[in-house]
Amino acid sequence: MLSPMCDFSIVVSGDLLRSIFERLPPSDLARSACVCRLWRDFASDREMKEKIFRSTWKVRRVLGEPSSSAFWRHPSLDRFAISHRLSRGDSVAGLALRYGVQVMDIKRLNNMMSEHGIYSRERLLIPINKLSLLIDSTCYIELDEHSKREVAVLYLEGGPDGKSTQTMNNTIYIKARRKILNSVKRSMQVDDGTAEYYLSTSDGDPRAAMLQLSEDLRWEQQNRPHLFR
Amino acid sequence: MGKTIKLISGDGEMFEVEEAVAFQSNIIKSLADEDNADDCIPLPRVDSQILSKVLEFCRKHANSPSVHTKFAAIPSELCPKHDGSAAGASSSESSSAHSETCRACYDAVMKLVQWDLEFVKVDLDLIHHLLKAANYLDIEDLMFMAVEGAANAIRGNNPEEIRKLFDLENDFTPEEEKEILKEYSWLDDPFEP
Repeated sequence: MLSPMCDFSIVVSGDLLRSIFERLPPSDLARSACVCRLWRDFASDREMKEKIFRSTWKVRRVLGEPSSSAFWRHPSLDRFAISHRLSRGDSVAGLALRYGVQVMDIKRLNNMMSEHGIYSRERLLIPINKLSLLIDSTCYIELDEHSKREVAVLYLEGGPDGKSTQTMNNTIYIKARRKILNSVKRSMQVDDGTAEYYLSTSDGDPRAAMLQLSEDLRWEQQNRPHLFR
Repeated sequence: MGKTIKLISGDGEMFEVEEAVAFQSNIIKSLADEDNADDCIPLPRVDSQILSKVLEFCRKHANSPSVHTKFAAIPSELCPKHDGSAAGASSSESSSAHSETCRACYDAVMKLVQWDLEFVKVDLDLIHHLLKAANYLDIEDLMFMAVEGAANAIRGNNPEEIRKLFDLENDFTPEEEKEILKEYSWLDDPFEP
C-alpha cells in the first residue's frame, strides 16, 4: 500500500518544476501558470515565454531581449520578419515579387510613405509568408530604426554579421542522418519529411525527437480530432 | 549472474541484482565502491514496492545504449548485433563508424524509448514516488522519464484539475488571478482543457 500523496513536496524544487514545464506545449504551460504562485513564477519566466513564442512556428532559438515582456504575449506571424540587405537595383516591387508578398505589406512593415524611401536605408524588413523559413531557424529580436517596431528578425544568409549558421555538411554526417532517419521513421511510423524534421530540431537526440513527436501528436488529436477519425 | 549487489528496502526486503543493474544508480555505485566488507546496501527511504519498480526500469536500461547518447557515440560493445564481440578491440574512431552504419543500434535505442514512455503511463501517485526515488538514488534516465510522467498528468487539464491532482492551493489574490488570466487571454478559455 503506497503512502498517500499528501504533499508533492519534491515538485516544489525549482529545477524539477522547470524541467516538467519544459515538456509542456504552450497551452498547458499557460494553464500551469494559472495554478498557483509558485507555478506562475516558473511557468512565466523568460525562458518559458520564449519557448511559447517560438514553438508555434517551430523556431529553434530567439536571441536578444525585448523592451518589455509584452512582446512574448502574442506570437503571431507578424512578430517575425526577414531582413533583406538592400543592394543596387533593388526595388520594393521587385522584392515583393521575389519574396511573394504584397508591396503594401512591405511598405507598412517598414513605415515607408513612398517607395523612394528605399534609397535611404540599408535593409528592409520583409513579412514572412513561407512558414518553412521559420522552422529550425534562429531569430534576433531587434528594434527596427525606421519602423520603430520590435521584431524577431530572420537573416536568410546567416546571422546579422553575415556568418552562416548552417552546420558543415560532409558525407559521413549525411550518411549517419539517413540511418537515424530511417530508424525514426520505422519506430514512429511517420514519413521521411516528418522524421527529418524531428531529428533536426532535436539535434540528433532520439529521445528528444520521440518526446516532441508524441507531444505534437497529442496536440493534433486534441485540436484537430476530425483528422484522426 | 555476474557480480551481484544486495539492496535492502526501507521495509526490510532484500533485492539481489546484477551490478550493471544496480549501478544505474550513481548513489548505489558510489556506496558499493567504498571499502565495505558487507555487500548489503540499505535504502531506508525506498520501500519494496517502489524499489521493485525502480529495479524493473534499471534492468531494462542496463547493458543498453543510454538514451542520452547521440547515435554517433554508441560504443560497439552495446550493440545487440555485435554482442560484445568487439569489446576492447575498437578505437573510438571505429566505434563511431560502427554506430553510424548500424541499424540494430538505432532500432534498439528507439525501442527503449518507447518502452520508457509506456513505463511512465501510471498514476501520479506512483510517479511521485518514482521522482523521489530517482532523485534519492540519482538515476538520471529514471528521473527524466518520471518528469515526463509528471508532465503527462498536467497535459490536457485545466488549473483546478491540476490543483486537485498535485494537491496545491490556489494562493492567488483576486488581483493576481485577474492579472494572470489577462496574460494568457490568448488561450480560448484557460479553464477549458
